[in-house]
Amino acid sequence: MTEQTPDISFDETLEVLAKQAELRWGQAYAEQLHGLLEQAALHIVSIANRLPETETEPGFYQ
Amino acid sequence: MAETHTLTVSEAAAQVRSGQLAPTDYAASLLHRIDAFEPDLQAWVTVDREAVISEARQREQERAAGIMAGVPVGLKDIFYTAGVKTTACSRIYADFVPDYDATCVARLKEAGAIILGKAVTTEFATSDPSPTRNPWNREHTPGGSSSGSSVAVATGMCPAALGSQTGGSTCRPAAYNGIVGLKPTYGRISRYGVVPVSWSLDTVGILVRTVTDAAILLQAMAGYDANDPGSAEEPVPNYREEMERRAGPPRLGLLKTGYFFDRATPEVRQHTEAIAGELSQAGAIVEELDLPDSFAAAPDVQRIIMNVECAAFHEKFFRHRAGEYGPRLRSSIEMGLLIPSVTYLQAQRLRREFRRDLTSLAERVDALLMPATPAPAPRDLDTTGDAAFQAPWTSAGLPTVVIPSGLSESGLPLGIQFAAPPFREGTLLSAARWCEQALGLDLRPPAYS
Repeated sequence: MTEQTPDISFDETLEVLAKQAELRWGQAYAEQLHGLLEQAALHIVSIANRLPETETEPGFYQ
Repeated sequence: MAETHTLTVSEAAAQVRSGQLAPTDYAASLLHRIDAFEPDLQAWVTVDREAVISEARQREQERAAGIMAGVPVGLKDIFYTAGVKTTACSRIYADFVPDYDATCVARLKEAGAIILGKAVTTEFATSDPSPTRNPWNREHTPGGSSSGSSVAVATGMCPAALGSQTGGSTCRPAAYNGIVGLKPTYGRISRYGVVPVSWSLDTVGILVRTVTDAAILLQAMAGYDANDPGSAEEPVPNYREEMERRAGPPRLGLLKTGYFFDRATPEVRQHTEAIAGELSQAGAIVEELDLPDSFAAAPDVQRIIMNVECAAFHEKFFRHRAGEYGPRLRSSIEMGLLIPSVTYLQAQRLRREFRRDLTSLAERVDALLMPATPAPAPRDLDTTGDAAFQAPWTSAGLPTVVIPSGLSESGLPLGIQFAAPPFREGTLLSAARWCEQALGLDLRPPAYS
């Protein structure tokens, strides 16, 4: 039986972002950014759960 | 002769070429209009009256013959203008004076245009609202980021202006102000000498009063530029000839189910259906089409790419001058700094997939048809409105055009948006012009007519 990797969770992503924000700007400011971090986590999870076909290369200058 | 402020680019350039209209008189009448409306609307950052008249006089002496002969054009204040401040309406660039013109500005001048001034943008062409007011109702946003350019065209302060679009910054303010907005294919117009938001999304936009005028400005600026790494080598057709050749009723693909109609207000949904019905009665072939599954990723992809690239551009300034940024731009940069590199690359890969799928969909018709915005301009000066109906197309790099299609119950402009496959601006503009003529509208804000 193949072991499947579960989808990336919103809560885990948010936690990682919050830690990064704290390292970058300190705890007080990171707490102020909570709403922004939630938005970022939503975008990241949305992308992570819709991975492209294996052979698709990035677009950049289309 | 029509009052000069009501002239289209096409009419004005023809009158200048035939000697009926002197560029100095034309420029002076528009400067007078700016003087009258600017205190109310705050659309301009820099207007150098003496330089404008001097440039107009030069055009007169040259007996300008280009497709933009003697036509004054406004520039969003992110376009480099040699010797003239280009502030991006920011504290960071407040004193920046470029020593060269952006390629597209140079091309407009070569076509005979006169630079009328630098128009207000939201800070660095992002989301913090500008002081510019909507001429249809000053309590409603004019949209952004090309707010000054759109308002200037809507009120006849100039017949044409340049904007830009990274999310929805050309076509959304065009819709909110009742004018025509064109976002060409990514790479069609050079961005060399344009302050960037996001290199792989930024597109020069055109704000005018008619679809024919959009074709004229596109003709003047389109084409390869080795100075812009995103510039396309695709040959530039003669757009006006193509519009003449394709003068018949278009085949339109109405995107009625899913994303666009789900997000639109009932009023916008009913309006768009009524317009589709009117176009069909006038002879257009209207069929309903469904968006591809890959489209679902488009809004998130646009946000990820824009925020990361925006953060990369601003990082040098932001490290020491974060306090000088507006709150929304600051948030975008901060978000961009935290997005993992793998997420950014996956977004770029997903983008190629939905670009491919949207191109296939658009190839089935002359143009895809949808509402231009989810609602008319919101009554909220703390926002520039919702870019949800533009961002997916910007992200895919497909060309779009917005035309006015009527007024809401509250008396604000409503618009419809068309999209086509990459580099099919000729087909897109032909379809939009046919619809523009079938609808026969000429919207002007009553208080500034």
